[in-house]
Amino acid sequence: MTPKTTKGLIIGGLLLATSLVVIYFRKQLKLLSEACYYISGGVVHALGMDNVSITIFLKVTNESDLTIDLSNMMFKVYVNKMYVTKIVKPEKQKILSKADVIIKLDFQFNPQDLLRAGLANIAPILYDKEKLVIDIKGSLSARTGIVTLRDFPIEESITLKEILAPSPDGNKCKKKTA
Amino acid sequence: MANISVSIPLTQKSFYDTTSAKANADRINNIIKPKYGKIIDNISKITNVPSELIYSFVFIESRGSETAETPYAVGLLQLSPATASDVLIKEKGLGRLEKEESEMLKKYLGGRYELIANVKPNQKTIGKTFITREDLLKPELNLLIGSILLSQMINEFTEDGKVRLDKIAVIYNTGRFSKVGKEAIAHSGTTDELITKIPQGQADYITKLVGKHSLMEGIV
Repeated sequence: MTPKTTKGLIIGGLLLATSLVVIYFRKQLKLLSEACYYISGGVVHALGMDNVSITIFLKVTNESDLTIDLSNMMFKVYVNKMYVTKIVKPEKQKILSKADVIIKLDFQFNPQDLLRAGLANIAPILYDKEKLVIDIKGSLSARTGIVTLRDFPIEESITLKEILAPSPDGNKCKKKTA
Repeated sequence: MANISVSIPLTQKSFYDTTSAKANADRINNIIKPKYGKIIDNISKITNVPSELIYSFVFIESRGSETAETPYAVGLLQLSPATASDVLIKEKGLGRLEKEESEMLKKYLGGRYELIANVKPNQKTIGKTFITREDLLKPELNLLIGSILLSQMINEFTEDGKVRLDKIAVIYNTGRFSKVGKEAIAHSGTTDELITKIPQGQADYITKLVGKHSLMEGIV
């Protein structure tokens, strides 16, 4: 083999290796951006006329081959379209490759505040669990060693009844919408 | 840390009305974010302190003025040189100083970084102030050290998975060794109960940060 051929083979090999690395990371990035989530259940700690306290479990699945760090998590909670609270999580949560993590969203509110804010009647939605609809709207950052996806949107809507008795069919993994 | 959170508002009491809350959000989104947004996002990423919390403290402490100075504190997050020095020593002593934080500190402190590098595990002070007022006028360094301080407080004042931002507000404002600071640290009741026990200035700090129409509620 002439020196020229050897040099050509080395350059060709390097180009091939670089291309494979780029293809691999592009695939992982796509999987990362398609990380899916759903509300897997919850606990109602209190359900009264002057205090409602609920924990919702948001399950996030990492389908990529890379470990992800979730951070900068912020969620706004709406009850029957009325804003009740904002949840900020000042921590990092690690999701290993092909694994999932449960993000606990604790919130409480005083139904009297909803009445004051314009809701006509709180009693029917407290006592009919299908009528109490909770919307979670928020975002988080997902980061691997080299890639950060900022403002990954999270949007879920669920009734109190579904929280308390999640149906297996209802647990459909939801992909990023943006 | 495991699954910690803070739900806002922490109290229904408010310092701002809806009009001033909107004006505050406008100032943050139109003035502070364009100027410091990239730095704050990066620092939030490496310190793990939510960017909203950093923006809120920047707003309350300096209204986004990097040259804000009092006899005691300097810059965007109004830090004193002594506090800033102790924060960095403590962070290193706790073994929590991340690589990216170290790199940033080396960039600004040069040879003085050695004082931090030589800190032993669990060491809390070196009895020396090595951060200057001039250092703290640099926005990125000020934001980094202030955010590290906030992360230390988040770690310390998380109770049953809930971050006590009310206590953090009081201690950030008065210091942990003040009478009010000690009272906040020892407080075991609700945010509303804490507000009734402390002077108006610190009560206002809490409602500005985490009350109804507060900064934390209004950003994003």
